[in-house]
Amino acid sequence: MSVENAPVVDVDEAAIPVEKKMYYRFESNDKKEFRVSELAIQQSETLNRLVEAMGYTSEDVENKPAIAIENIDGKTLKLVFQWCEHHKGEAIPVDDGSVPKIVEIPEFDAKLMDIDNGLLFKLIWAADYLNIVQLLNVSCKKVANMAQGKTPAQLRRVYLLPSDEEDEAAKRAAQEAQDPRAREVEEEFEERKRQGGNSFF
Amino acid sequence: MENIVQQTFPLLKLPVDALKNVLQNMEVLHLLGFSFCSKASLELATSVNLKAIYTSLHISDDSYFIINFQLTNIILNFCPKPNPSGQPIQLSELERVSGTVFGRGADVHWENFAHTARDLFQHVFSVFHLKKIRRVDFTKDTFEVESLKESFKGLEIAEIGFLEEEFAEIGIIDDSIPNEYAREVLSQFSHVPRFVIQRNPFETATQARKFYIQNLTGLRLYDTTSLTINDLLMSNCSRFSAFSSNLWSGKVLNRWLKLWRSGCNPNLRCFEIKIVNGRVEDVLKGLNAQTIPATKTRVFEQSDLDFTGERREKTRIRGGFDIRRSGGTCATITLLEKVDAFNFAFYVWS
Repeated sequence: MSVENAPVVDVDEAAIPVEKKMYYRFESNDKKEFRVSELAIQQSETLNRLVEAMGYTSEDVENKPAIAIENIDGKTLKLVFQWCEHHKGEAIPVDDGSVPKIVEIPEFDAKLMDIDNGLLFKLIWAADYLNIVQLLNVSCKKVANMAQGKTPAQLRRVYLLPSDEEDEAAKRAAQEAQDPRAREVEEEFEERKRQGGNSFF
Repeated sequence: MENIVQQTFPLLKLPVDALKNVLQNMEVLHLLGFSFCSKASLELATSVNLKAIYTSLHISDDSYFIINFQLTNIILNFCPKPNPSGQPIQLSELERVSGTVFGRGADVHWENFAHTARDLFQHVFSVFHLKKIRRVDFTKDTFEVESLKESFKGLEIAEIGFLEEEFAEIGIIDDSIPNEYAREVLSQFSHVPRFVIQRNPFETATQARKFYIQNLTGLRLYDTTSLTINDLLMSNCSRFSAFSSNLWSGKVLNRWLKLWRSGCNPNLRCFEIKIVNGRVEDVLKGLNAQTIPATKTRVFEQSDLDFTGERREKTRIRGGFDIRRSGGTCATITLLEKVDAFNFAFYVWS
């Protein structure tokens, strides 16, 4: 099944599910609404627990407002639900702790994740928040693959990793912002050390 | 149009579990490369808990690590700046590092590496949670010994071997490692408990005995043309293995066994030697050895741990001849006859 054919539909496109299965309505933080099958929802531990706790009937789904997912936008949520629909019914992998993880990116997932890194970043956040184990695995694998053929210096640029000096500066700035007195004490201590004092007191 | 702007990804802004997942998904060599980005990245790479089983290091013109994992093995080549003079070079700043995963084809080539060999060794140890280097094999006098020692500072080496590169497995000897260089390595790395030496680097008996007297846990000698009974008596090694020697015969072994019975070589747990042109029947003369039937098998456990640091080495001994020394310590002798030689093995039970 291609990404384009995945059975996630926006409500405003008035798509009505053919199968007589339970569908849930979700709304993104930018007010986009999605209908997602019960089976697809099972890929997300967070959503699955949520709908179980709510105990909605088919009538409730239609009559009550869509379930709001407040920290995920429509563009990201569409990808998430496309993925869930495509992989519905599949077993959820259990982490056996082996490192490196053995994760293959299927063709459908590769196409789904043929997106810019900004959206990929949001997708990973969404997969993590919604606890969709395999989506998290494949999206993280894609990020891990960015290391291919890179030198440490290139990796620093690709992954936006601060240098040790930048880390130190950020740490100092955070300390200063948190407690200006602590910085003063530290400076006083350093000064006393320079003067050869053995004890601060 | 080709996108010439390299895409970036804010890895450290991912949720903790996702960041961990990315690192767990990285190829082994990429994770090592990641560890070189900063102190924080080293800490992150280490936290992945990717444990290597063991590592060995090969020192030659083309020096490399072999690192074995549960599911994969990698080779990591490292090259300092070459020295056109042909003399041993200082092992410090590395110019290039390249790595290969066996059977996976995931190669890395880090030009202008700008880290020292010591950094590389430390990272390999930290990221892959290694406790010791299983073995360092020298096949060439590539690096200055002092700089090697500096690079290994703080790392435990289980064994050092001096082997001829191409024929190491079959014991053919050449002169790739000058004797003086080998002696310097033996002296600078005297804390290493085990050695495998293919060609005798000692010029005098005094030099050799100064080495044998160390409390080694293992010594394997391929070139034993000058090994005498006095050398063995001087040795404090717990496992002594000699490939062959013309200076040894059944009679010499018999003499040594009698000396052992009277208290010599108290630290020795295992001694093996191949005797050429000797007579088996001379070995046991006058020892009152008790014959153990070949149907009886006993397991001899080495006191030192194996390379992984987890298991004790075990040898199954079938039959043999038991002798006892004055304090009651028992040892078993096995004699395996060949066409023109016999293998003598001696195991001391604790």
